[in-house]
Amino acid sequence: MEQTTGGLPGSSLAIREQDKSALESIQFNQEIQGIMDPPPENASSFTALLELPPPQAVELLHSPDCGGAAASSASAKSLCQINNQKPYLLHSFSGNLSFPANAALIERAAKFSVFAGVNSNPEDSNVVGRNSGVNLDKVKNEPPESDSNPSPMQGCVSDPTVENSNQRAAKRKEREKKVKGCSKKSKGAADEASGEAEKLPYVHVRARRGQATDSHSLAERARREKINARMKLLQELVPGCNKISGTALVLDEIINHVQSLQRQVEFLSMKLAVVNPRIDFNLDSILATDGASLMECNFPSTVAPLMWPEIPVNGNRQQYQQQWQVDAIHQPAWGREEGNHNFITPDNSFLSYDSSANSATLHSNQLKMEL
Amino acid sequence: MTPIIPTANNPASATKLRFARRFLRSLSKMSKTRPSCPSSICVKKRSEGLKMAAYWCMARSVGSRRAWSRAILMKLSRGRQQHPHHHNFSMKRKIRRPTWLGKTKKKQKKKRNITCSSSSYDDEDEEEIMKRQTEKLREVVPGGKLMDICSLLEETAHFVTCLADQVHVMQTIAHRYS
Repeated sequence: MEQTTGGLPGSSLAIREQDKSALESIQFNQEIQGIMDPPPENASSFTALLELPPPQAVELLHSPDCGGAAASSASAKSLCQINNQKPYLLHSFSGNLSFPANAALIERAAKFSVFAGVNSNPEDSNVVGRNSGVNLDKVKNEPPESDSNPSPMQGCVSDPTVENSNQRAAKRKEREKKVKGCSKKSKGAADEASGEAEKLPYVHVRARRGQATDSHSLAERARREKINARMKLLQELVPGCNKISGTALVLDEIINHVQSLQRQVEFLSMKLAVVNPRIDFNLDSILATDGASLMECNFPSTVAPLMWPEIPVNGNRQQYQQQWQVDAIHQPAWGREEGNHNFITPDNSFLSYDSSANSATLHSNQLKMEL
Repeated sequence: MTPIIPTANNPASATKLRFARRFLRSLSKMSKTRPSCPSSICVKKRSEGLKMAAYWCMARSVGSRRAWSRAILMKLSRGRQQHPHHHNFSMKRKIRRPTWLGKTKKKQKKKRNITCSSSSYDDEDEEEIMKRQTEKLREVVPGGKLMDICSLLEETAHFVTCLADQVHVMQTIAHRYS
């Protein structure tokens, strides 16, 4: 079976060698013809010799077009197959056997689409081609060898198969690529905003051009975009971070800002601890009226007239005036963004703290006096 | 003067109002329960108690929506459970305070060192710098140790806004009554 895949020089050599063996095979055929007379009885053994499936062998033997000649030709043909195909034999038998043999083979060959296009070659090559094709069908499982050694006789047969298989493989690959591309495009189409789709359980990420398309890298990219979006948010919140570039410095600024806010809370709690004892129940009502003012940041103007009767503090008007001045400075700060007043308030808190400390000392003095 | 019912134009202001109300109520309670003593120790205790009260009120007004508010509530409720009889916030001083509540000068020094060294570090050490800073951020933001970077940044953003509101309210109150 492997002689069909032999190269050009190899095939020519094989043919010469086959010349010598052809005579021997002819004699052998004649002997077999004698054996062949009772065909059905020997069919099983003969098919075993032929290495053909029994029904096909029977068909060959009992082909309607030819009688014994067909049988002999079929046997010769089958012997050719057994003897690793001696195409040269057919030349010798072509006179009597070619047509009926060809008929039997044509029926088989007709089943194979490979031979549909093989018409231009002469009979010899046709027959050889068909034989080789038949053997090729059996040898179909050895594509690489056929691919590697294309001969003109075999090439016309092997190439179509090989080309077909190659084309099919190529088409499959192209289809797969297209499918992959389509899937990615569909993913991209479904993608709304990769960085902002945080509410969705699945984040659709578009694979950009020139970037890796692994699932891992896509997930990492989505994660990075998420983190960058949140960093931008923080930059907007924290004053002075817009100008800074670089995550490390921005994070530094954020940490500083948070710590400064916490320090302010501590200062204010100290302040309130000192101030606290004077607070009355009017707080809630005052707060209700001042709630709007808190939001509008019109604090000093609205609260100023209310403050005086409420606070039962005596003799500290000078400090209060100072504080009102401070608050007047405060107000535009509160009206602006938080950043500004955060910078200004520490000073004010210090000032007010000093004033409150003064008031506290004054109060302590008053208490001592009373005691 | 009729109490004007403030309409919250945005949810941030609603939180602010809620905090303001709670804080004032807690202030009035504290002023009632504890006599005002001018001594420095007393003032310190009160200030720390006020600080805790401020954070607690903020966390309550935010609710359980945010991880940091939940963390604060958990920590403070644990403190309360340990001292059920004492409603004074000053007792919580003895409890191990969470690091985000304590502001020491050591942190400032560390901060300075990092800011100085970050400029001199190579790109290879950027990862280390980032790790250090994220750790610092986790310490500063309550409940930050359990979160990944994404949620940590989100929580930090909300925490910053709430802290700013808190500071604003406390300033107005302090200025009003000082």
